[in-house]
Amino acid sequence: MLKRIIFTLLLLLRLINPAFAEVNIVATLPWIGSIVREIGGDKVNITVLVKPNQDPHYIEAKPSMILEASKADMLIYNGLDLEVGYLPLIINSSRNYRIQAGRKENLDCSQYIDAIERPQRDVDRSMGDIHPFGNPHYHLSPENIRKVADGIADTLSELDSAHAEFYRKNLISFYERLDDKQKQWGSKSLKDKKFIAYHKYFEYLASEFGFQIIGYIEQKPGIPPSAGHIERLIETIKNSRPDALITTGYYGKRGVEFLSQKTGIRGVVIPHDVGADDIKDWFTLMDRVLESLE
Amino acid sequence: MKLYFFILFVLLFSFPAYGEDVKSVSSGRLRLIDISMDALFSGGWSTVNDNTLQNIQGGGHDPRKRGFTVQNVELSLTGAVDPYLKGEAHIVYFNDPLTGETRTELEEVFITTLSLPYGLQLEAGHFFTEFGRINPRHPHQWHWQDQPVINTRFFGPDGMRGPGFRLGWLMPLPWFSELHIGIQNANGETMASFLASEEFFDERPIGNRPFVKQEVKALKDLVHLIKMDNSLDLAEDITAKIGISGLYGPNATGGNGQTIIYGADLVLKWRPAEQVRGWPFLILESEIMKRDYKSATYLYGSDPENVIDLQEETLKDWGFYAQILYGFMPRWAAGLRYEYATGSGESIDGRNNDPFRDDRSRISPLLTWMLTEFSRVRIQYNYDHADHLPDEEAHSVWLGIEFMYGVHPAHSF
Ligand SMILES: [Zn+2]
Repeated sequence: MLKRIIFTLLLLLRLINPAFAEVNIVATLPWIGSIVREIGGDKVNITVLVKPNQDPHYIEAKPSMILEASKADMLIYNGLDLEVGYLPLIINSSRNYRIQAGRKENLDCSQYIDAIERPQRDVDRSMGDIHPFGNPHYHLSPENIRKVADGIADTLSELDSAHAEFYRKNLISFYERLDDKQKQWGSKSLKDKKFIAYHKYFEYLASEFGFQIIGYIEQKPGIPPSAGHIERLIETIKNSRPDALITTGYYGKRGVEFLSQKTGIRGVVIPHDVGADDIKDWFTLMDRVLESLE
Repeated sequence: MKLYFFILFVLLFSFPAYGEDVKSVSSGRLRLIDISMDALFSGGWSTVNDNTLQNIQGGGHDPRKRGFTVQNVELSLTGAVDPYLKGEAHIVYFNDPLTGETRTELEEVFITTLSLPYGLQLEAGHFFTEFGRINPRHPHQWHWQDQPVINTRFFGPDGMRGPGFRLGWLMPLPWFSELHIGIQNANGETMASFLASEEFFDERPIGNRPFVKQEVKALKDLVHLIKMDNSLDLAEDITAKIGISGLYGPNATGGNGQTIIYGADLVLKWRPAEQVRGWPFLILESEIMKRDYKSATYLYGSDPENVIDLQEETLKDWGFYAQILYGFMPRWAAGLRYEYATGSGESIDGRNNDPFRDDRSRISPLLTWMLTEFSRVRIQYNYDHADHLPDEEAHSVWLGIEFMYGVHPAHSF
């Protein structure tokens, strides 16, 4: 009896680690969770910190997130400073040596991608809440996701070598599905379409699918537009007749509605991450995003 | 003169184009030190004069002068020391409201371990005591422009801090639960309720007792802290954090003078998922604390006609604040704070006449306008009711401006 109590206590204190088969992964954003699920299957246990309907730019580090990070075998995040407002605090407070910067278990997905809009000259906050390492919203880019999936599979295989074969196989089937999907997506006629967007959120999508973003409602990132800017924008919209005014679910909806009423151009709210509106995975997210742009 | 050097220093080293914190625009570079600078200024008026304001706005960084106050200009320097340690330093400048003199304070300098096993974290150096919510936080992390009355009474004008170490343990429980134990020196002007300093007692003697200088002879002559924080997500968009804190150490009244301070703090935050740039939000915060200040017997004087003979007595004080802040539309927040403080056991000239022990309440509505995350304007009205005041009440209005630049560290919950 006493032995059992002591064992339970030690177990509670996690001094004994019964061999858990799954790799405990903490992912910041829902789309990352979705890609990790594709590669890791049932060999990983995923916790996503940010909710699908939250604005990824404005997240507060909650104690429960620190708790999750303290138990993580691996941390996977977007990078390019998108998580700078909360992730450094979570990593520091987690006391988890595994997920500290510089280790394999601290996986910054942006290392695998070619970031666009890297500032070509010095930037500062007079330009708003600028993304200083380039545009971090690369998750709507099939080409970049391809590389990210490869990076995740590589790292997982290295850290959990017993299941390396399994992760490689999953990556291959992910690629097969992606190839099929890309054919399907490629047939969409988005070329030559013109849009006005709220935030610089669709740049990767635009360059891969050949449409144009001819203006932004947000004059500077994170700063509400001025009245003068909106006036000029109305002129631009009236002159160039874009196909739609686009924004994501979390903000800019009211601005888009207002401009849509003023100009008669339709406003479209585009789902921005996995999990919102029963979007079950990244493929569905891409389907929905492209549908809504058509 | 010092101020000029300071400004020069800030201009030379914190200017984004030249400072260390400039974000790399090419691929990686060596990131040695993150610099940030936060400045708090205020202007306002009160129905009581500047001397009385030093008592009712008793926090060292409170707005506390008819006209303008340079409340707090803080230079923060943080960085990775090596793979095991993180370093942090906060240097504070402010103007003495009465003399106009520039004062410099080494507010905090400490290291934190990053990867001790079993959920442990060690902090060592000179730092704020982890008691309650307001004390361990810097003025720019407070929602109101002044510190709570009860904090001023127990922890002095600049908050309780000192050299020592602290061990934090993230306990392996299903919810967030953190235990802190700490030891710090008991002496110095920032250790008001403990061994304090002669200068502090010249200004604000606790219970009007005389200061007795003491030596550290054993471990019990240091201040000991125990603190436990628990947090739960009550719903997807509501998070609660509850803390209990306790302090124990010798005090400045003599040989067997001892102080115990204990308290509880609560914070509730509502942040709906679909926020616009962080709005709307609702934050409820409250702290209650009690101090048992056991004063030692005191006998002084060789002339039998003129002996100061004080009996051993425990002065008991307690108080609380409760505040609610509602971010009702992007850039705007409105709040209300209520405070109460009282005690028992006499101060030498009577508790009613002791500005730091009398019965007191304060009501403070607040309106905040945040231009961005990096600048805000606040207007606050304080209605004070205190026994020691000539009319027992005071009205004050403070308009404050704050700006910060440099690397913005993530806010703790
Ligand atoms: Zn962005």
